[in-house]
Amino acid sequence: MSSKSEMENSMAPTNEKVNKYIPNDLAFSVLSKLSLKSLKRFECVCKSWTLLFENPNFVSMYRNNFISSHISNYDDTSLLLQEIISPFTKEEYSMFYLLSGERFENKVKLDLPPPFYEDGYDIKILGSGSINGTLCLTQRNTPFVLWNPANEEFKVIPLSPIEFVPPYPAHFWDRLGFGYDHIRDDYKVIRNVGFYPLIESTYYSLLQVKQPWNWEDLSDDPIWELYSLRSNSWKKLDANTPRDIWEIKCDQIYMDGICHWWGGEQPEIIKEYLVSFDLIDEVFFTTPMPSYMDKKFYSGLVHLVMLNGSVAFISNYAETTPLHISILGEPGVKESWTKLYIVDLLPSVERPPIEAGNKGIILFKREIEGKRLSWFDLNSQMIEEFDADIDGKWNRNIVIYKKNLIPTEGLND
Amino acid sequence: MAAEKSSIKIITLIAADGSVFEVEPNIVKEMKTVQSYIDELDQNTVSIPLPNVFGNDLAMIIEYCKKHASEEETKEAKEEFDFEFVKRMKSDDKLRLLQAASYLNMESFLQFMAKAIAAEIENQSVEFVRDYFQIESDFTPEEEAELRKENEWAFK
Repeated sequence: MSSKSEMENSMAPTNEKVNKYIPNDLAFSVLSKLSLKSLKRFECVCKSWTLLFENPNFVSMYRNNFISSHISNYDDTSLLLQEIISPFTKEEYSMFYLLSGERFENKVKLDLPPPFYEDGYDIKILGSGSINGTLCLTQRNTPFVLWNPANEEFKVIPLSPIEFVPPYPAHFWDRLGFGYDHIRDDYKVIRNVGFYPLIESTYYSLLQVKQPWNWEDLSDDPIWELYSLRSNSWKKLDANTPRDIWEIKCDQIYMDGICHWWGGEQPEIIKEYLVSFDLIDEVFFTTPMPSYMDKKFYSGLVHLVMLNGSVAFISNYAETTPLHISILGEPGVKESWTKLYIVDLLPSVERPPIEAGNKGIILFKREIEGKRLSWFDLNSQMIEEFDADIDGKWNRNIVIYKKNLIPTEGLND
Repeated sequence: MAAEKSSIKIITLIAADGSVFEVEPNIVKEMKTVQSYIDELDQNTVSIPLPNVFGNDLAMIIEYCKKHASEEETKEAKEEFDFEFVKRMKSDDKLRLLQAASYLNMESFLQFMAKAIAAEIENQSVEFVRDYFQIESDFTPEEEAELRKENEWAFK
């Protein structure tokens, strides 16, 4: 049979029966499964291993692995949707729902923990999701509550000594972070506290007495405070706190013992960077923007998300241009930003995105029969709509939630 | 389980060292190189020489295929098997099996082996990887020093 002889020819042994030489296409299928850091290091192995990210086949393999790689944190995750009813009115309150299933078709209402039973006004979820099943909520910036919805454990975090010390009641800025110190098995909350005087300065000028505070001291010295669940107390962070972060552009995200924010500083030229706080060593550090970011990029449209276990930076030049998505190889290293995706989206999709979900999906609002909540799947490159009863009013917050029934020491009030 | 097209009941695979393996058709489905050969035949029995695969390696591949083709095994049992399967291998075994997977055109087994090798070289040194893959550097010392400097962060 002719096919048989062809087969035998094709299976003819090579000079050495099984040699050790690995062809590049096989080596690349191994390399595409490495972290960015190892990959960059191994560019120094030989010439054909350099510039891997300029090889479209390699990039395609790397993307597939990036999206499909197994990250146990993403098993059985749901989306936690915060719906705000009657925003900016006295009747405002928050409703929380868990969305699960392939198309997030299962919607279950969650009851708030006791401190919020009667009053769901101005509640904020810190960070981009639950950590070991625990969420951190805050109401009007105080109090803070740690809450595990699955086993109903919660903990109202005590006030810090600097709160309500006259004449400067504390005022908390929107620079909050929630994370986990895996070395000490400790949950931590970080916040930036500014102050305003209890009594207007005009009161003192009317009385013609010197006001008992110095404005410069107050405005120039915002305090960073760190709460630890193990010590159940707040402490002031002294060393190396960022003074000039004037704006936090999007929500904090947490990964591997580090809280990250996107921030910027003045004066003259606006500089933006990733601001990070290491919860283990308790230090701040920054990472400059990827080098492709320049004035062409409209700086208002940058966003930070957790994408399949990596810190991802999403930006675009203008409202309707494609999104550029880069992941961070090593916190603190500008050169480690690696652009993985350029995504062209319909003009109806609002930028920036809201959040990234599991398995490479990015959540957006979309202008379609009113505002609808949608997700974009990086794998299929398709955009999908949530069910009709989850509309896309702007006043929504979504985080990733993973159930955990195991009790946490110190969490039961 | 019968093969889709022909009435082949048993397939004989002959490894490079002459060792012979008799397997059922569903076991070789994942081996696309073998399967496409079978598909062109109309015989009850077939024997296929695989001169690029050693007997020890072929035995391991068949063991893997049997476990993964089984419908009785749970997902957890298969994961446990995969873990132990890789654990007992040396670096050379992994590289040979990766090449065998490529030669037999076994997509998911190839990805599995690639992942196992990636796990072994992750965070290792450049020298370790050269030794692992038996690659000679083709950089001049100056070129390599410059590249290392450019990628400095990846060496910390």
